[in-house]
Amino acid sequence: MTARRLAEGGRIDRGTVLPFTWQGAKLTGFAGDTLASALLANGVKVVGRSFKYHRARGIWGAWVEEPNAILDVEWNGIQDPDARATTVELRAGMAVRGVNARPDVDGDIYRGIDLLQRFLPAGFYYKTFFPNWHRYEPRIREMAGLGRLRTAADTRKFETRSAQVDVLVVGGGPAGLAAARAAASAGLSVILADDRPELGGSLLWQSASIDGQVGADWAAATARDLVAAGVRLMPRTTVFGAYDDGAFGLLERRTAAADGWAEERLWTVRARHAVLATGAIERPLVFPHNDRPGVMLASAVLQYLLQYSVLVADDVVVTTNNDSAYDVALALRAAGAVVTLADVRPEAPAVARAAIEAGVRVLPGSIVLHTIGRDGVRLVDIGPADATSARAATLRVPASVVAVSGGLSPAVHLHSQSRGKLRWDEARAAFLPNGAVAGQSLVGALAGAETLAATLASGHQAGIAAALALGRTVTATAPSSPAARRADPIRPYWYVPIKGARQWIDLQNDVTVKDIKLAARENYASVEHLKRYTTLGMATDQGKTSNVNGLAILAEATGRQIPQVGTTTFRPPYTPITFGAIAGMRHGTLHTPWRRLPAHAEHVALGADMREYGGWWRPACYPRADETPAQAIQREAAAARRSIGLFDGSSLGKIVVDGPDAAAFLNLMYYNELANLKPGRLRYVLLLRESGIVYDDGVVSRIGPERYQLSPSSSHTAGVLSALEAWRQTEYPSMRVAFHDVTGAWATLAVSGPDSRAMLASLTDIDLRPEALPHMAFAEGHILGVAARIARVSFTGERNYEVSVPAGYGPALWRALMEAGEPRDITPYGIEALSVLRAEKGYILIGTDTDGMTLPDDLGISGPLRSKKVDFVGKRSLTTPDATRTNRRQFVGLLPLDTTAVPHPGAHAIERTAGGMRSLGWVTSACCSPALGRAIALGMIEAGRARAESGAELDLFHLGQTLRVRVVSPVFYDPAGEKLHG
Amino acid sequence: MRPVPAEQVSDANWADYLYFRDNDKGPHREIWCHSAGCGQWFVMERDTVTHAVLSVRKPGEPA
Repeated sequence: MTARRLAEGGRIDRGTVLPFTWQGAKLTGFAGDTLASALLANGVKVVGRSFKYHRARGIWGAWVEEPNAILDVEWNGIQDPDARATTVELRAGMAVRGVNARPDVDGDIYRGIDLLQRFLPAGFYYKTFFPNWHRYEPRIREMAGLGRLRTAADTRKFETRSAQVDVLVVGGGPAGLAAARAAASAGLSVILADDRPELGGSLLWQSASIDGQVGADWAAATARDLVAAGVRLMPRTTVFGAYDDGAFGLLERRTAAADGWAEERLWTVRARHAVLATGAIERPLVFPHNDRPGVMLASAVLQYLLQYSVLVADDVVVTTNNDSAYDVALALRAAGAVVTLADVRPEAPAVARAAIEAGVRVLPGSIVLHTIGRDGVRLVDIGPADATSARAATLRVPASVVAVSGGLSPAVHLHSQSRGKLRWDEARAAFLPNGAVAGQSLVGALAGAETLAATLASGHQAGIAAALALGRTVTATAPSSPAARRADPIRPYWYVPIKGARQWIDLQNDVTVKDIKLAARENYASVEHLKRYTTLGMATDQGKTSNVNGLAILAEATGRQIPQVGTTTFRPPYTPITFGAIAGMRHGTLHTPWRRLPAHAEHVALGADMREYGGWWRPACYPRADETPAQAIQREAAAARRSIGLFDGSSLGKIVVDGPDAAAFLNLMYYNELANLKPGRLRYVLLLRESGIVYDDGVVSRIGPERYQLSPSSSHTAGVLSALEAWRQTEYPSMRVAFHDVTGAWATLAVSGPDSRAMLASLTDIDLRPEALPHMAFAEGHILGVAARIARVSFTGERNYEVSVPAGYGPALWRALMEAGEPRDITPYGIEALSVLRAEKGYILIGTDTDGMTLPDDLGISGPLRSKKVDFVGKRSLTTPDATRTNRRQFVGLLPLDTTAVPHPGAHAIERTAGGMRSLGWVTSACCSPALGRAIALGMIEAGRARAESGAELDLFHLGQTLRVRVVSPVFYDPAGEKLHG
Repeated sequence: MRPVPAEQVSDANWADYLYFRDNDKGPHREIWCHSAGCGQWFVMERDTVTHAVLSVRKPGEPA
């Protein structure tokens, strides 16, 4: 009574045997099989356990609509934890396992959950797991989820491609082929995409005659003609999304990188016109215990029989509300099966005659009332379609398969994603597109065509319409097919009106008729609420065979008509696409372009610990063989204050601002006054947002009357440049000023410390005497024969010279400085040591000590607000009530009373209140200070400056621990700045 | 347009300029930047429902 392969027939290649394993057992299939058809041919009945109740489930459909056969497939080093067996092309060596079951789908230890089904309706988790759901969480997480993820890296290759085309035809069935044929004959460029490996769509498993040929042969011949006409055929390609301006997303699956090297290709295709020939998807009839293995879609039964030569059972009950299932019954009879057909329509339709003559037992006005059998259908009870009790069954038939047919739902997804509207067609009991979106044509079953002749005609017409829209003429003649008899009308039938019976609507998420009625009772009356409350349609099949049944029941339960309930919003992708395909090649080393300092190799040779900071690889520190990074950082910082420290600052931004209006423009942009900056001088500045928030700090040099150079922080250079351009273009287009990012053109090395001048003086022709080059000034000249600019500006608090040379000389300059400084104990130091040195001086780091709420006065920089006469970005925001309130957080230093306890950045300063604790601010930076020999910290504290003045103490609270600190000025080291000057 | 001069702009006007936008259903004026290309900033009138682009012009260009 199980499924079996027939001796001949089908579109499989019996000459190529493909071995594979199912849950460890060795099986075989043929080339051309899907994993599902091969499993069926081997008599496998149970392929999974349902999501919530862990009920046994079998293969149900034959293509993307499949809800049950979600399997773990491993092949050739590639692993898919949730593959849909009906769309997996069988390959030799595939190792297949079930999911959501332990140890396997046959002996699942969780099957007992179904006994608790009364307590597990839709939304039960909103009403359980009290008082603290975290107690149940580990167990739930262990049980939940489908499939298991391997931890080995995914080695597949993915490509992204794009194409532009006159006509994109979605769907390679008769309608799509006719449309592509017509469009190609008009000389249009055409792409025809179909998600199956072979073109032809339903022609591959339904008997048809087109232009005197068998349907499948006509499809193959047409495909050859299309290629000859220059059409790009894309089989195995799903058009998963429709986007703005004629853009479509396509996922092309390439079998084992057959040609080219990518396993999947993500395409963006921009089409001037699109023909949607996506067909229609069959939905089931709903009856009690309709989820048992053996219940299958009637059209799937037909596909397995005619395309894969698999007879699903020798005893089949077919139940239907429309004519299409009679073709299935006839085909099953021809293969020798015993067929009983229950039609819910009270009168037998005209097609019943041929079926009865062939030996099918036709029962009008009937439906399946119950299926019996453990882990698979064994017996079927049939009774009146209006039965209100299971006892009304009039007939019990032995059967292993119930083939169900409840009507066709046009695959309107791409149309709806394009914001096309739908209308409920009463006669067809289906949602049809209500008029095509501009630039799209709808053909075939998607548009409601009911015969092959109508389908072919609509496809051909669409080709003509596309040609017309693009100014061409179609020369091909329409393909023809013999006229078909009119079908008898479908009778909408949503479920059997038996109280208390368990009737499944959404098989993948285990949603039943009771759940929908529960949702309606609890007032989740909107179809969008129904979806989210019951999870109907939220599984990987996205409700392809359950949405319409579900909303029809909701309509009845809430006393509305189906069109009033409507559908949920359609969103891409139509079927799941892999993250790998979306990422394409942008992962690993290709994810982000990393920038390197000109002297990168020098740092590496010195054993630097290189880390990524804001997109640049920079030395964090230079640990020696016998020290930890923490020790290296302390040593480097001490050396920079004791003798000479050498730092590579080449990543610091350098933007040249040029033009007659440069001074006026920069005055507008920056907080500080810049027009009066003399050539040869530098000034520390803040760049604000219009909201007054400090966006960046840095240094500006006046090169000449109409030229400045900005030095934004490394990670903000692009942002600053973008802001300058935005302001100039949108608000001040009449200002004559241009910007150039020259960051990469210069290598900048900083020589810091008491002996810095002595060492440099011997290498450069620039006059470094303090009267010639005071602090915050720069000069140009040469160093070791190379053109250079030396700026005296400091982030360490020591006398510091930033030496800039053309980037190509960076490595040589580094080596030369290291060599020249050797007798003076020159020490290279990295970012971490710099961070300590600047913290000792109370210099801020944007984004560390400041955040999205910091105003200049919070940092103690309020001069420009008082003295700057002209307007600047953010000015008005500095006088708002919020900007001027007295309890704002201010930048201060924090000294732990325990000198060895380094506070945690992020720890809050607290004030204990009656109700608990109130935050007064937090620690922004903290470290061990080599200069002071103790722990120090910086932070933003409410009324910080007043507290510092009075020497107030505060408690810091972090992870349950309290640390007492004294609020002080943030300038711990050399507050008078003596080291900087002179 | 930026409200100036700062001294004559009320707190309410300034907050409006900084934070309030009309969320129109239909034609909507926006400022865009061709950041992956030439860096040109431009004003686009776009329908927020249909996503149709109604007009494109440089800042300051008359409609």
